[in-house]
Amino acid sequence: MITLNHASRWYGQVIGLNDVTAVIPTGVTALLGQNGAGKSTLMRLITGQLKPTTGEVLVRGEAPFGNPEIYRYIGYCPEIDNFYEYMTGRQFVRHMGRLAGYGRTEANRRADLAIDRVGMSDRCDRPIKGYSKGMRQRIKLAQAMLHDPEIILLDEPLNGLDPVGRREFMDLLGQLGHEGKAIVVSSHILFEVEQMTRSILLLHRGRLLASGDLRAIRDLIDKYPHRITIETEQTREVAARLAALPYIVSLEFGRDGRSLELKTREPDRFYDEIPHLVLDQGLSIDGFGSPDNNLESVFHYLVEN
Amino acid sequence: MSGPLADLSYRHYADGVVNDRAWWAIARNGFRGTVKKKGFWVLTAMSSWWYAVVLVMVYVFEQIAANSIRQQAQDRAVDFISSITWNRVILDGVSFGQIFYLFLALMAGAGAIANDNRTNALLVYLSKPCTKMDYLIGKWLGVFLPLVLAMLLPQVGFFFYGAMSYHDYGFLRQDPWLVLKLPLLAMIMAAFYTSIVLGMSSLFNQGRLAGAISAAIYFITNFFTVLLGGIIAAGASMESSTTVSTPLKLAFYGSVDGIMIATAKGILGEDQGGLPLGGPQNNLSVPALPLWVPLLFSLVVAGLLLFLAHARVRAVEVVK
Repeated sequence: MITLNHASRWYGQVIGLNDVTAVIPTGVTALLGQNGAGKSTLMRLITGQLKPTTGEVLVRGEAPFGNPEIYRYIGYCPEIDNFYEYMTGRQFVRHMGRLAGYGRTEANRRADLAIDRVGMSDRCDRPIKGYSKGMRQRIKLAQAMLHDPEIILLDEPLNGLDPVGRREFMDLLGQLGHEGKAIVVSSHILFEVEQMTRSILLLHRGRLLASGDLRAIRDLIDKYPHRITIETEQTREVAARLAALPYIVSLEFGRDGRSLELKTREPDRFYDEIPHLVLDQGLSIDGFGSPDNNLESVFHYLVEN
Repeated sequence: MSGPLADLSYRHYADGVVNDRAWWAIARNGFRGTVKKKGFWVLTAMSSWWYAVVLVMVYVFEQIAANSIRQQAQDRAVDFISSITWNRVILDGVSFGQIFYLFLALMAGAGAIANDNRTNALLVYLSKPCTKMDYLIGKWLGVFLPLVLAMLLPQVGFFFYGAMSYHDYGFLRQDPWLVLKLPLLAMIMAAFYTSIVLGMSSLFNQGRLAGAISAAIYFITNFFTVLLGGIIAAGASMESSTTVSTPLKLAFYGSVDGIMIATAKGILGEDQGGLPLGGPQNNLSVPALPLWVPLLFSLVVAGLLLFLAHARVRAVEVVK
């Protein structure tokens, strides 16, 4: 759907995106990176608002820059949301429908459908200036999806949403992804992205650090020990058993006396061993988890190592 | 399109797409936004004050002509109405309306692009099937159309009232083309004001700042031309001369207000305004320039500002 082929974008002496090659398929893809990583630059290259300095960006096989026809297939939901405060949400979405080339009746119909889909039907006749952040996000999404685009780009869409709103928003994005659309979501709130998709593009200082399935990326970093935390009242007994396992690299007692943190080079084998520890050897384990199983840690691994 | 793609024939994008006129959607939005403001109608009404004054005066003189018991008063009243040059009345109306046209232009256009710059709304606009040119044309028309309406309404109202009521006093006979000249004049003036305000708007991120700078340009240039007008009038009076040198004329008309008055003089074919009993004429006493001079000047200034706007309009801030 979207292809980047050695795409770079310079702003004078400042590099925004550096030699990025990637293919973004249908479904939800997360664009991850810290501030200044190049997420917005990448989105603007895809939406045709910037021209790559070198390389190429293709959307449906065509370069989007200066090609408004391709915008018919793109819905863009920028991070900013303080425009057209004097309009009501419905007026704004309808106006965007007219901009997309629809006649009045069709624009109104599509706007009403899109507003309904983002759950704003009961509040869309109030001026945008009175909207909460979450309501603005929804209205922005409504304008991005009203023309049924194949590609929807969302810049930090979860900012300002309450937990229920986030859940609904994520569910909606998931639905759109299942409908065959390519959804690109930029974010630096990694745990939220993790709940949306496992397909990521990880940017750092303009470079594409990693792309693909989160688990595949995780495999790449498996040469680094994987941390696992175990909660138990029998810390010493559990530690003694674990120390005998050949793939355990280190063990450390928690300060609270009720936890252990270990490092292993073979997390899958370790997870397989846990039932035996409990059932066969009668050890009591209250819980376990890994701080390395989220995107935050993946990001840090890739950036720091 | 190149490369195989999944079957996307179920897409519904094309359903209901009737046109590519994104500029019209933007223009209509701008037009509606402006005409919904009370201030627009208040300023439009205020810009027509001179026409109202003239109509009241003519009405009073008509009543005198019809009802006065003194024949001399009746004759004077009829003479007054008969000797009115209606194009001069309109020239005065245009001249006195300039300040209101400025305020109308600022209301309609100062924030048109500046506010979009501030809020980065261009990101949304330009991610739709809407080119930069669509955006500019739409914004331009969104300011131009309300301005034409505001300029034309008082003139057309005056014209039709005059045509109905004062045809016996030569209203239609004096200039049969007046009905065409009025919309032409309104469109030229509106286009000029629109281009100036929109060009300034594109240079700033705040509508108020763009408006303040536009107003400053208007008032500063106007101050010098009024001053120059006074000097010219005083000089002519001292020398009992009615001729004014071309450089002085050019300087006199070298303001936003001046260019529009010069254009109005050229189109209406009058060198000065005023009523037979001595209306305000100081700033209209300088002879007209050939019409092509103010038109060319307007075109160059408007073109330059629109070129600036075109260069400034972009969806993203580029870090230098």
